[in-house]
This record gives sequence, C-alpha cells and structure tokens, in this order.
Amino acid sequence: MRPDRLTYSGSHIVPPEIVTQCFSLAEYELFRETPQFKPIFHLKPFSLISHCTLGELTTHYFSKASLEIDRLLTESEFQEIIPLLEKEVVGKFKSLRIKDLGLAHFLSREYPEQAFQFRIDAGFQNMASIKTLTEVFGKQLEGIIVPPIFSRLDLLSLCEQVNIPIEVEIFGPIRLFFSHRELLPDFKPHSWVDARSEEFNHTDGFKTYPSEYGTLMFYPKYVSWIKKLDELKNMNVSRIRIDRFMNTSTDFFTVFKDLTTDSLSEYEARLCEFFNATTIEGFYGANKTDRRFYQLKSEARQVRDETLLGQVVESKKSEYLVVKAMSDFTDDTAVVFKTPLKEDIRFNLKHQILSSALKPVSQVYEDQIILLPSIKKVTPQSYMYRYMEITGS
Amino acid sequence: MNTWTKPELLSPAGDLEKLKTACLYGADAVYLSGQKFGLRYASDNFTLYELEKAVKYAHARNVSVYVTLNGYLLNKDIEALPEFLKELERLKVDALLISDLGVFTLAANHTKIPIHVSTQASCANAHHASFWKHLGATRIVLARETAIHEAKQIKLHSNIELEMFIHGSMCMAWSGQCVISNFTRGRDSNRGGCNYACRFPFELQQSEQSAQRSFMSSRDLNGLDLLPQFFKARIDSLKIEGRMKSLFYLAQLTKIYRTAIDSFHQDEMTDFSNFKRDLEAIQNRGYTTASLENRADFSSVAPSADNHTIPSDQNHYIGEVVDVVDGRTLVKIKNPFSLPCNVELLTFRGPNETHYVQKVYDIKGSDVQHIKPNMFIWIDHFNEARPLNILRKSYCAS
Repeated sequence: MRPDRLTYSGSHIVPPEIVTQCFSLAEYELFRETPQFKPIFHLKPFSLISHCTLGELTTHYFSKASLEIDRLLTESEFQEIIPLLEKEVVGKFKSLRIKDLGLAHFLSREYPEQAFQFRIDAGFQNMASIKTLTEVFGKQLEGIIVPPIFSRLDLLSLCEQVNIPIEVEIFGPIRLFFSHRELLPDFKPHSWVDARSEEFNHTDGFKTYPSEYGTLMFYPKYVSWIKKLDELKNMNVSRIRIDRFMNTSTDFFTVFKDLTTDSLSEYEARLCEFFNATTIEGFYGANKTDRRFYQLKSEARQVRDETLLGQVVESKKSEYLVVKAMSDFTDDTAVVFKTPLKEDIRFNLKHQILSSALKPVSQVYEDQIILLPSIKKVTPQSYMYRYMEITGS
Repeated sequence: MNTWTKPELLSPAGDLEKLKTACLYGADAVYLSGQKFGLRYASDNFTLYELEKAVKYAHARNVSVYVTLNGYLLNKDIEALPEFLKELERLKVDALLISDLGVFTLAANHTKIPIHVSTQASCANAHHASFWKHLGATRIVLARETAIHEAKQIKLHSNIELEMFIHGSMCMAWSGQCVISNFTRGRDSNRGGCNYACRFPFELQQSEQSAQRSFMSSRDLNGLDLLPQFFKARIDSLKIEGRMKSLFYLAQLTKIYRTAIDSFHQDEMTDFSNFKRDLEAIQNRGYTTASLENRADFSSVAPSADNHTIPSDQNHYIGEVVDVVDGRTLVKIKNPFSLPCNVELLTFRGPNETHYVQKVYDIKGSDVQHIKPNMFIWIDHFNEARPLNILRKSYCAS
C-alpha cells in the first residue's frame, strides 16, 4: 500500500478503541456509562500524574482496564513498589502500561501471564528495536504505545511489519520531559505551573507539573491527529488515546458521552474548547529533526581524511604562516590550502619549511609546528591538504 | 594500599587533540563519537581516518577507546549502521556505547565488540541491568538518578560491570527522555541536536504565585567527595562528562581525578581538600552530588543563569604547549594575559611547575609585550614541559 494513497475502506478493519485516563474508583463508574472509553488507571505510586492511591481499589478486578506505570524506577523505588505490585496489581488489571525495561524484565520472569504494553516515548522507535522487544517479551507484550514524535511513514512501517496492537495519542498534551527532581518546591504540588521563556515564541507557557515523583513538562500546544483518523484506521492502529491530564473534570463524560471512534472527527473543536487547547500535528507529516544538524558544524573542516596535512594556526602578514601538522609529510608533497573564504591556493613546499626552531626541514611529523612563508589569501583557519591531481576523461 | 579494585577513569574525547590530552593526563579509557550515530553533533567528532589514528594512539598507551552510538535512531538512520559497525570492528575499538535496543541488536549481530549500555537508556535498577546483560551487554552506564548505594545493589544482583558519572554537566531530566529540542527547535535531542533549553531562564506562574529563574538548569556533578563510596561499591568505571568542553577543562579534570583515584587506592586516609580546591577553580555551574547519595532535590539546580560559568576559562587558561626546543617552550595562546605573570605548567603527572614569567618571545624570537589569543610564544624556564601540557595563570601582576 502506498502511504500517500491511504483511504479508509472500513470494511475489513476493526475500528480502534478509545482509551483515556481514569483517576479514581468513582470516575470508573462513569466509564461504565460511557463504554466507548476504555480506562487507563492512574494511581499512586505507579503513575506520574495520579490523584489517588491504589488502596481504595484493592478489592476490585479490572478486566477491561489497564494501569499506567510510566515511572522509571531507581533500585530503591523498584524495591519499594514491587511488593505492592505483586500483591495488588498483578492479575487484577487487563494490562500494565510500562516504561521501565527492568519492570518488563521482572514481569517476564516472575509473572509471564500478566500482559503489558510498552511505552516508547523517547527511544526504541525504529523497527529493529520494536522487533527485538516483541522477540524478547513474546505474547506478554500486547501493545506498543507510540509517542506523537512518530511520523506517518514510521507509524505505517510499524503497523505493517509488527503484528502487535499499536496505540497513539490522538488528542492531548505533548510530554517534553520528566525529571526525577523536585524542580518547583515553592509551588503547590499537583497543580499546573505555567513556565514562559523569552527564548521561545509561544504565547502560552509550557505546562509544568510538580509531582511527588519529580517534575513533568508539556508543550504549550496539544497534539491532534484527529484529522488523520481515517489513515490511522487504515493502518490498523488498535487504540487511540485522549489524554485528560490538564482538565480532569468529570464533565468530560457528560460533554463527550456520544463521542465514538466513528464520530470523533466531529468533536475536535469541542475537545479543543474543553481542554482550552490549540493543536499541532507534531511530526506526523514528516520527522525532519535532523535537518538542521549540518548548521552545527564548521563547514571549513568537513574533509578530515588522509589528505588533510595541517591547519594554519597563526600568521604575520607578509612574514610567515604557522602551521600545525596533522599528518606526516615531506616538502615534496604537492599541497593546496583551502581558505575560510573557500578559495583553493596551491603552494610548493620545497625548501620552504622551517621548524619552530627556525631550522630548514624537509620531513614534517604529525603535531609538529612549522613555519611557512606568508601566502597571499591564506589566513588562520585555512587547512592544508595534499593536492590530488584529478585525471581522466 | 586498599583492597578495592581501582575503578577505570573514563574521560571524554571530542576530537583527536582532546583524546591525546586525555591519554597523557592519565585517563584509562576515553569515549568518543564518529560523525554519526552519537549525541554530540556540534562536537568535531572523529572521521574514520581520525578514529584509526585515535585507536592506535590510545592503544599504544594502554588506553581503551569506547565509541558512542548512543543516539536513538530512526528507521532512516539505521540503514547505514552495519557498514560503520564493520569499520569499528576493523579498527579494534574496545567497546560500543549504545542506548537504543535496535542499535544494540544490530551491533550484537554484526560485531563481536563488547557493548556498554549508555546512560541514555535510563537503567537504574537491577532488573533493568539484567535485561541488558541477558541480551549480551558487558557494562551498564547507570542513569544519573542512581545513588551509589543503589549501584552497589545492582552490582550484587546483576553481576555486570557498572559505570557511573563522577563529574560534569547534567541533564535535569532522565537522560534520553527529553524532547524539548524536538518540539521547540525542530532538532532531535536524542540524535545529537539538543539545544540545552533547560539552561534558559523562565517566568513561572501558578495562580497568584510567580517566580523567575532557570528552574531546570542543573548544577554540575562533582562526586570527588564520594570517591571512597565508589570504590566500596566496586563501581568499575568513573566517567567525566564533557566531549564539547575545552582542552583546559579536560586536562585539569583528568589529572585531578587520576591523582585522586591513585591516591585513595594507595591510602584510604587521603585528604581530598587540595583536589576540591582545584575543582572549584574549574568552570562550573555550581556543584552538586545530585543523586549520588540521595535523590537530588532543588539544591541541585543552579539558581540563576548568571552563574553558569564560574569561573570562566578566560580567567585562568593561558594556552597549551605545542613544542619544546632547547629548554624553551612554545605555547599556543588561548587567552590574553599581561606580564609579569605567575604561570603554572600543568604537568601530566606529579606536581605542577610554576614560574614567574617576565619575558616572552614570538615564534621568530622577538620580544612580546601584549599577548593575544592564537599567538605562538616562546617561554623559558619550564623543565617539565611536554607538548599538550596546559598552562594556566597562577597570579598576574596587572
């Protein structure tokens, strides 16, 4: 299937289910009344953004719900949550949503029947990674949770090549980082802080969240792939997620009680209004986040191979050039200087090289400092290359 | 001499000159990057030709070379990797530093080079370490959120080599988990394009409460005081951050930690106060032990953008020795200074050499009064000078 000709036929494809956060048992009751939404429990001490503890849920089984475990765990934290996980979590949720590979490894060794999904928020976003994940964890890995940094083409490859349910964030805030540190101790915890900087052009600030597990920051705008829904359906994306972190009001279930996968496209404006959000598509069209890398390099020093003989490091006009040798060479070597102004100046070294002690030399060694006569247009930051005569037809 | 194994000292090598400097100042191993697949795109890094020279240079001095392939690669990046891996195997590099599972799989399938798991992989617990060990990793560079006492437990349970950062700049987020640059600058921080947005000052607002500060800018890690704990936890390698830092920074830090590690290994009662004083004189954003003892708190954050580089290199760094002829030392000047001046030669090993310098000469032997950056000058006096030694100001009269 050509990616640029995706159309939704709808005949053979199971529509993706909608998943969203559930922050309490009381809220879980609302999910029963809106069964088109599948709950993801966010509970302490497992989920970074959570408002109640696992305690009140311990007598329940959640055959259709998953539990978010999006914390990365230090050894102490791991030891702290494992007893609770073993006692109150394993076997009680349909699936766990995991970010820590250690936890995935632990479950695969100790509880191979407990299904989990894996979050690939910042890494493991290539096919080779995902195939390894599926090989290592087998059927226990029952989903990959893809971040909004994915492009359409990468998502398509993933859906085509890996036979595993894929979840995308179709509408919600974009998480930029999680810090293990308490960066905002002077602000009220579990309440959003607006962070603005002159370095960015955004009129809205970055939404920052002090949690007991550290600090999270989100981009000022939401991601929305709602307009791409048909394409996502065609790719066989299994789950689409609406993230409710920034407005956890239960009014959501009233306002969107009729929202379904098929009607989602009609609700984009109302979602934006409800969450007071403006949206971007992220990198869905194309991920060109390496496009500007070449600007980070000094252009004059691009070619660094066996033809690079030295660098002009000092000059005194009409008197001398100081060159640091970057390779061994003799004064028989034909050379060309490449200047910062991108001019090529040829030069004959024969009988022209002085050592730093001002003695004539014919053999130069790597790292040696030599003097040459002043050469017009050759300035510091010029590079001296072996001259390669280009021959042939 | 104490009974603990001496940990490896691992220094950064942003280019060939820095690699040589790190080797000469006492690193047991260096880490560096090729032109692709690493995380420091703005650093010069190494072409294959330079890498070959680097490996020969380092191995001739019993220094190991680890090549970073720790970017989180996308499908389009990964195609070129197998060819590069073959080249690295041919060059006999000592290990690959990898964070991405796909890169790991390819490296394991295409080469026999030992694989170290990068700190970018956010490994901070024993089960995580065991996961990588199970796949064939030989070493884990622990996430900087890990305390030394936790590392000890990880070592005990997973029985794999462990590497920890002991000094340098830090991400405020879990390394490898931050995408600020991706969304704000269109540069992938996990493929080498980080724009250090965490260092910017921000206005913070929550209802009526407000503040203005660089609330995400971490102070620099300084684990010198905890060196005994690293030994006792049997950490295999101690790493200095900073492939993009200056030669001055690299030389000083490598020498300080080399001396400190050797001294403590010889004598558990080693007094670190001189080393601490030397570290204070090196460019830093204010120091913290971050999470090495307990989870880092707000004191680990630099309070304002103003103190990001205290003291500046310009205050102390004179230049580097490029040649020694007939008892005279040829120096490439990095920062201007006036005469007379107490000039200290940072020797590769042992005590430094300081002289009161009143006269210097240009490369042709003429007197020089005003010393400017990028000049080459001759200085008399220094007996211990060798190429790549660093010179710094001790005290200047003017």
